[in-house]
Amino acid sequence: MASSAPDEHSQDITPMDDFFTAEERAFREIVRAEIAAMLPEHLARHTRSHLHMPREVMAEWNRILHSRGWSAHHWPKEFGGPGWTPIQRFIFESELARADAPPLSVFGIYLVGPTIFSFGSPEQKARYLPGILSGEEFWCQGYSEPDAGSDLARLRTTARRSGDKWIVNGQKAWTSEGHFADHMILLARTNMEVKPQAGLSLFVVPMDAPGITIQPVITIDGAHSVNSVFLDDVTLDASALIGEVDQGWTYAKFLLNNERTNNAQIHKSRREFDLLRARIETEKGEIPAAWRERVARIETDLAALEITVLRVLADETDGREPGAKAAILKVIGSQLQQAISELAMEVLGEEAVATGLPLANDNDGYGAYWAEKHLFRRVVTIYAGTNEIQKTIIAKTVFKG
Amino acid sequence: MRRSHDQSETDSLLRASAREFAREREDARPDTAGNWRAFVEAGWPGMGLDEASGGLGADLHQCCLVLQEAGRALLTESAAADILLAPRLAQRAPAIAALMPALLDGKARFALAGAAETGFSLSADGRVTGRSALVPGADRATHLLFLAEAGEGARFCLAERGTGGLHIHPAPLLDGRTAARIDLDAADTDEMTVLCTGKEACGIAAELEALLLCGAASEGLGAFEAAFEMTADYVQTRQQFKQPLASFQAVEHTIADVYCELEKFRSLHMAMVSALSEGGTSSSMAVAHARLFHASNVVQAVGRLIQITGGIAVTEEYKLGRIYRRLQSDAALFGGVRRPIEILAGTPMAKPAPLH
Repeated sequence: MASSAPDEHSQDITPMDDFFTAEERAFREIVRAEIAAMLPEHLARHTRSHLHMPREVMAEWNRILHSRGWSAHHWPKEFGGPGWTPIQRFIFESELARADAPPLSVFGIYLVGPTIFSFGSPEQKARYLPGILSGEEFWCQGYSEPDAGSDLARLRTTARRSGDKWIVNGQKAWTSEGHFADHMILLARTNMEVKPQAGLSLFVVPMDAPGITIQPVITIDGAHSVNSVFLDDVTLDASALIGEVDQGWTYAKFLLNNERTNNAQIHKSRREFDLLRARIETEKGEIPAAWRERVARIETDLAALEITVLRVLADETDGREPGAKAAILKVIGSQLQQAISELAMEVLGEEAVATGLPLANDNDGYGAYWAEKHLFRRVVTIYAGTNEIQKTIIAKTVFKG
Repeated sequence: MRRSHDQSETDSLLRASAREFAREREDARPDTAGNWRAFVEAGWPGMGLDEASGGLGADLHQCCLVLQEAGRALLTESAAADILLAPRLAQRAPAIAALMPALLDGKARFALAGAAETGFSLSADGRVTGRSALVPGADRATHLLFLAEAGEGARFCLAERGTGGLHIHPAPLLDGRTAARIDLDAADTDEMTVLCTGKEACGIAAELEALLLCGAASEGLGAFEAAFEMTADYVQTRQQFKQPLASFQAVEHTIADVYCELEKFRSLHMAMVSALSEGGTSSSMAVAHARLFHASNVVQAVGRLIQITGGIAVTEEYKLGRIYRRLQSDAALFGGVRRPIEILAGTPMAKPAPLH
């Protein structure tokens, strides 16, 4: 097993291996071979050197996966998923990461699709699910607002009924991919008379609707991936409402629990750390003594996160309640992502900050890539419910016994 | 193979009875006359042996959950070597198999005095000289196992207490347990049993050492769980400023941080036990992960529990401080964290060879 090719690194021998059954290991061999055959080299190259994926990269890979029936690998069979077990899905995701496949847009596949097939009307399913599956239509998420971040239920965007139409007014913040999305899934207040959580509804909003203004927000890494979205008297048909009126909060919460393990980002972390480690070892012959302990600790944390995710999936499979595990995975997964990028910055040194200078590796952009990732990565402990919010959830679960 | 703790009904039953047994003996000193007798009568020494040999036929997961309960009660009697080494040894060497009745009766007790980084050298005329690191429970061992030399010339030996040139120096540890250093001063291998030689000797020594690290981690996990549970209870009952400590966000977040560490340790522990059970390729890495975490993160996490508990936690009577001392002692034994760091980061693309 001694090989120096990065993709032959410890992903082949991990403590997880003893967790998998022979059938699961055979499944891994199959998807590994198929992904290798399907994934175009230019997409893998792009994934290795870019943080924010442009629409066309995600769309191309989405299309390829869809032709195999694998674009929505966690959806049930009846809606176009492959009908895999949670552990098979984990294996598939880890193989995608190992092959440097581009990530698909999370909004359509992870968030909107499951919302629509769980709560949408037959017409909504027929209209929107095919475009999500094929990657022809992109979505963004209109939840956060300038005054409603961690305290999401306080959002102020309103949807007023006017005859058989809805009139939407307000402003959304941190809208990732809003500048190239076709639709937004919008959380808006439809009832002012009840407590904040109880008066919210979910809508589908076409991004080219009159009254929508998109303003780019440049993030700390210097890139444009998020936006502010203003909605001024945007008119929606009655058919834009998802499920029941005033039930939006329930739907949104259901989904957060539905995707327990996604926030752990374990596969991405594993892959990028393997590549980083391979690069250091190729350049310096070994991990310099000063960083050995850090590397060993990150390896240990990666293993701990991997096994914890697998335990959650095993619980899910066997119908055991995983408790506060979603919050735990979010906290440890995001901390680990930051620990990896902090180490990368330290090890790459000048290469990561003096991006215009000819340095080692003919300045192939690896340093700039990590700098961008490291800066943008400050967000992972903030978005999807800050780690402080998650810790409060964990503590309350512990104290409830 | 397990994918969660206590997956089978037998696991849960075994845990419940081990917990009760351990709780009753929580403050027993290891040198109390008859203390070990109780363990023997409860069937601990032969737990992992198959039923045909008079054991309970417990698998490694079950042996480790019993050790977890021993750790939870901070039992000072070191049972890990008795429980974990015998089953592996009995499969390998007839000389050891013959000792099993004595083991089951509590009359034979093993200790592993040296394995991978052995300090024991072998002279041309077959004499062993060297000194071991501290070995928990070796003060009470009747039979010492050690690896003399490494590589081709290695010999894995079994020496009885009383062998000429073998000296056992007991040393009380910080947490009330006793360990010992083993000195061999030109001890003659003719007076010992050479169980195996060469590669096989190194392999079995490494395997036994991995099992002991695993046993220590199991006990550490039990102790960590006890620390976490008692602290979570305490901060909900202790009031200051007219409200329970648990209502303060700083305390909530420390509890959450420590709980994350506990779940991580549970995961690493489970992976290690699975890997050692399956004898898979990943076992030395899995042991290194768990060892590094046990000897550093867990100690720090319990330190944070002491902080949110407050003054009571730094008194002798309060169990949390004793748990901290136990973990601190364990962290220093088995060579600390140096080897796991070397295994995980010292070799490019670290892929340690499988144990088999």
